[in-house]
Amino acid sequence: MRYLILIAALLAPCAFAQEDVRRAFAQLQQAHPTHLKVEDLPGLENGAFTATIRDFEVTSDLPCVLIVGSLHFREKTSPEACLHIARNLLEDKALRDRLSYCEVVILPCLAPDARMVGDNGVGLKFDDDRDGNADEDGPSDLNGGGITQMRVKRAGGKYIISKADSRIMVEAPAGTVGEYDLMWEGKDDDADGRINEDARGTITVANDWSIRWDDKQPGANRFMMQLKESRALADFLLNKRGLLAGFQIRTMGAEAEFASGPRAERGSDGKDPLARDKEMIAALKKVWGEAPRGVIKAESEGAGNLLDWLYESQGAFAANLPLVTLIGGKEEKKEEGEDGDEASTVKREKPTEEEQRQLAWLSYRPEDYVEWTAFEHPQLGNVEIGGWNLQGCSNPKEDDVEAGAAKIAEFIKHVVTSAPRLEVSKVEVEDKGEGLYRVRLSLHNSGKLDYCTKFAQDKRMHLPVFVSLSDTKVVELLSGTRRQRTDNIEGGGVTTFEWFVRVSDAATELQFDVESDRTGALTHTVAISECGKITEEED
Amino acid sequence: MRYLKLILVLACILLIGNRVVAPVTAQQAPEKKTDPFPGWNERVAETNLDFRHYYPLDEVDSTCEMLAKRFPELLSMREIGRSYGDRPIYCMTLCAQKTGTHDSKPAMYIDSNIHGNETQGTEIILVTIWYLLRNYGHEPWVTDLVDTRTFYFVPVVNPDARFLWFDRANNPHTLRQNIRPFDNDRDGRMDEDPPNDLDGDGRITMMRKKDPNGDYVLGKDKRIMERRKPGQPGEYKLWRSEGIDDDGDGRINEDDLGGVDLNRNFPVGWKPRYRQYGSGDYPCSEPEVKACVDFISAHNNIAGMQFYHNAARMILRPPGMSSDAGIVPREDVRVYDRLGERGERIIPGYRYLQTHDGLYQAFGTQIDFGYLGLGRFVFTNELWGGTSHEVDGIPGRSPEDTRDWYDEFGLGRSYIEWKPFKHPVLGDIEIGGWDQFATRMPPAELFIEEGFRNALFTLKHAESFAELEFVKSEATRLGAGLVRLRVGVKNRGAMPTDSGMAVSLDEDNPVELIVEGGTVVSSASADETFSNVSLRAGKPRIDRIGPEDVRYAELIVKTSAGGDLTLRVVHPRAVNAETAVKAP
Repeated sequence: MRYLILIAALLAPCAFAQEDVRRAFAQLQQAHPTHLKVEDLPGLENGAFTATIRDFEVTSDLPCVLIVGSLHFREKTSPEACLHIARNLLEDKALRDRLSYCEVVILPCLAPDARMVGDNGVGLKFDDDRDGNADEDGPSDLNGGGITQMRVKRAGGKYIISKADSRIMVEAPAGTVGEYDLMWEGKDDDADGRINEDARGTITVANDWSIRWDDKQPGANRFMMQLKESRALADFLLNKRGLLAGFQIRTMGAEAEFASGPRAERGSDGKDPLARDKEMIAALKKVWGEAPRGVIKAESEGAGNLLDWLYESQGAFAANLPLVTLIGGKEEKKEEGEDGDEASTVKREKPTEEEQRQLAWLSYRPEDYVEWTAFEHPQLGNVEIGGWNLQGCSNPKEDDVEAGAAKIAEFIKHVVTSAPRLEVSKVEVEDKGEGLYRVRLSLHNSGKLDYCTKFAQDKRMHLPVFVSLSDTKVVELLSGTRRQRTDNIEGGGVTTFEWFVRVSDAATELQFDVESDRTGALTHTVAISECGKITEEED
Repeated sequence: MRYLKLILVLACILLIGNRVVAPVTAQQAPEKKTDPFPGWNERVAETNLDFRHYYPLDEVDSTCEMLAKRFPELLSMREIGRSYGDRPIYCMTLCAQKTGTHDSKPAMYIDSNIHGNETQGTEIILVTIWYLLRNYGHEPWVTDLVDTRTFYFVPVVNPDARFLWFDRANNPHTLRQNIRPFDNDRDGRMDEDPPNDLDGDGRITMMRKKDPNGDYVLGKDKRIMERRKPGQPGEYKLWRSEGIDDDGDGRINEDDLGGVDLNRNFPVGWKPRYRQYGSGDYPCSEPEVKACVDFISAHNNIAGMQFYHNAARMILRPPGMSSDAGIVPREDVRVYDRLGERGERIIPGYRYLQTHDGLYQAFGTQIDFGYLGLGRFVFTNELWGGTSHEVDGIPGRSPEDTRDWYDEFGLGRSYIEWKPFKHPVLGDIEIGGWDQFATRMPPAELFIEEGFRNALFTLKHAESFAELEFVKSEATRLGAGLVRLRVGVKNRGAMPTDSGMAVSLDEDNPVELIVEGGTVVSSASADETFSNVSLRAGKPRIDRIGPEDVRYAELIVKTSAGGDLTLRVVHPRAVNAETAVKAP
């Protein structure tokens, strides 16, 4: 009960400091000592920690589902969402059994320090303008009302006032001339003639990952995967050989947005080689639920993002899971054409995606918006200050966090219960006479998901599953190798392995060892006399 | 007759080598020279470096330590990281402190032995250091070079592999990677089936077994194995490395020690293992690479870089991941061509090539990190190796040329005769072939000429750095305490202050024009000739200056009458200049 009080306290405004989140997880651990372990994330000293949910009496490797709080640290509420998800998973008695076969690792926040100061990026000092000074010219609160946007009227500027809502600014359509320059509130702190060109916290871990990394991506570091935060998470995950899926909690989005790999090249048979992965992703999306009509999509994760890295470098399913879903804003009527039949028709001009996103946020969290007011700027003269505050369009309403987390938790439960699980379903023999037997073992993946993604299989990212007939003096192997392998077993599928052996009598026990670094090891022992007969040929 | 000529060449090589690096001789009596530092010549005379053998890791480290202790006025040693096996990775900094700190001068970065079996670049680094120390204060060219530039040397990037290269039996090609355990054959076990020295001779050579279905036949020289031609019956089955089936999987030597190919682990153009073999789990996953990347990234004064590898006798320039088209600015190609073609003259038999087009495509390499990541001018030299035909002192590329050459100059230890051996699995076989120190490197006695020529190439690269000078500086009094200052700044170096690539990467720096004794009010000019300057935060700055190019600038400076102005031009990767101007 105490942790519930803590959770309630966390949801009070400004109460969700990192130490409070950690304390709440520690309380959860006290309540569930056999199924939750909270540990510092190795390699970092910034307070980042992981919470692992599994049956700790099981010591073998298990498939792992990762949940990461948003890597866009202005989205401050995802650690609280992680806490709700953890509580939800731990309190579900029906899930307990599955936690012997699959673990959930939650990383509420990779860079707590950045989250607390409200920067999107990590706290790496970076000389954006290459003037020899780092972070010396960022946004500042000029009018004492908190940092918001600033607009300067200038013919030829890039922005115009939205026709859909005069409160927001949008880019002028291609081929038209804008009327405003738009920037965050600030001044020329370093007297170099530019404003806000070297702000704090511009380098983001969200775009530091080594798949399709691009140095021109806003927020990209000088080189890929040089941030200690991304390296610490990578090293942590590289020890999770059974990483099955990774999910990032974002504030807003339309649906579970999965990484789907590079543009597929058709195989020699003309088929999409990743069709199997797409099938599984489609099934998972169906569980999450279809996006409602008019839903606003999240902004793209950009180049070098975590999701692509999880799928293409670790072979794990990867998706963003949103806490809230926003529906599109107003549309505007526009007279179209002057001649012919179209002269009298009225078409609806659809706002741009960005415009719709702002309109939706304006409707959802109007308190993040500030009316434009005139201001005498020390360098720019007459400007207006207003629009979105620095945290705008980033966080859900407090009431929505728990509901969003509950939906995510239900989805995670489905993934956990779908995790691959290998079992020896049967051992059959064919008696050839004189102590000679053909032995066939059937290995069943009782999970719904494949042992590994097709992408990982094709790229040979994981070790195969090895099945060995134990090397005993009483079982003589006459043909083949004792240790056989398979790269993948489909969800619900069976793979068979065969040996040809000689034994002294039918009471001889056969021992099989299944080695898997993704699902753990298991041993199966059976006497030949207890085995069923091979009745049909496998393909 | 041909070999007589070669023997003469060999004699010359030894003479040149001794002149360059051997202990001081009577003809070069140190007492006739002025000491650049107290007791310097005596310390030089007491230092005896022998370049007629290759240095095991311990000897490299102890030599570096000895040199740093003995010549602290110019040389220092520090650890920049530790290897996977927790061995220190050292950087030697050679800098004349009396003319400025190491980071205040343009620097040449030189490293070697990133591939464990490509070792002799380390000795070239030692040759380079010793050449600079020994001739400082005596050879004006060397003295000027050391006074105006800094040299960073990382003799061994992959110390674990170098240690094992000398410590265990190898063939010329083993131990390329670092020693991070790796499961080459995906059987769930790491490094469990390496080559084995079956005959206990301290070497890993080859194995051959008579087999009419084999792919090999004997060459004209019965020692040489040639792949059979289509339709030709086979005679032998050949295993490139001596060994047994350690793990009982039916295969031999399929899972040797290590690891990650460190020269595929750099954070520019890096690709996952399924696109680039040996690339590692992620860029800079290996501590050896991280140490180099952090060091280089933190030294904005590094203007040029040199990486030593073997073996193919090549001077390689970037990119390694692609062709030039659409990536490499033409002005950079011109600079590379000038330096590379000069290299071909300095090191006969070496070919200057673009890596991707001339050798192969590779991702995540140090050469691309240096150029495509930082915009620095960088080269990789592939040391030694065959050329298109056998020439004096250089083995040719055909098996016969190579073997002939080693028969003559391998001093009896390069090619190991085939001997019968009873293999535990294969039965009757023969063991023999190249020694680990052959084919990729010359016999140690012949190392010095190639070593010194390569050292000279890197020193000439460093000499080519941008060097700024004032070619014009005049002041005109305008009244109201204002002076019009017109200056011309020339880059007399063969390299620009910044490459075109650095500009496109935003890795460039402006040439700052510092005026002491006055305050710069404006950089405006009516004369277009003098408009190559802009003001940023009150500081005048000139854009990139190309090789042997002049930039003119005009400034309006507020100053007191009759005062002297001191002008300085400063760029982190150029030799900077200073001049005084009398304000009228």
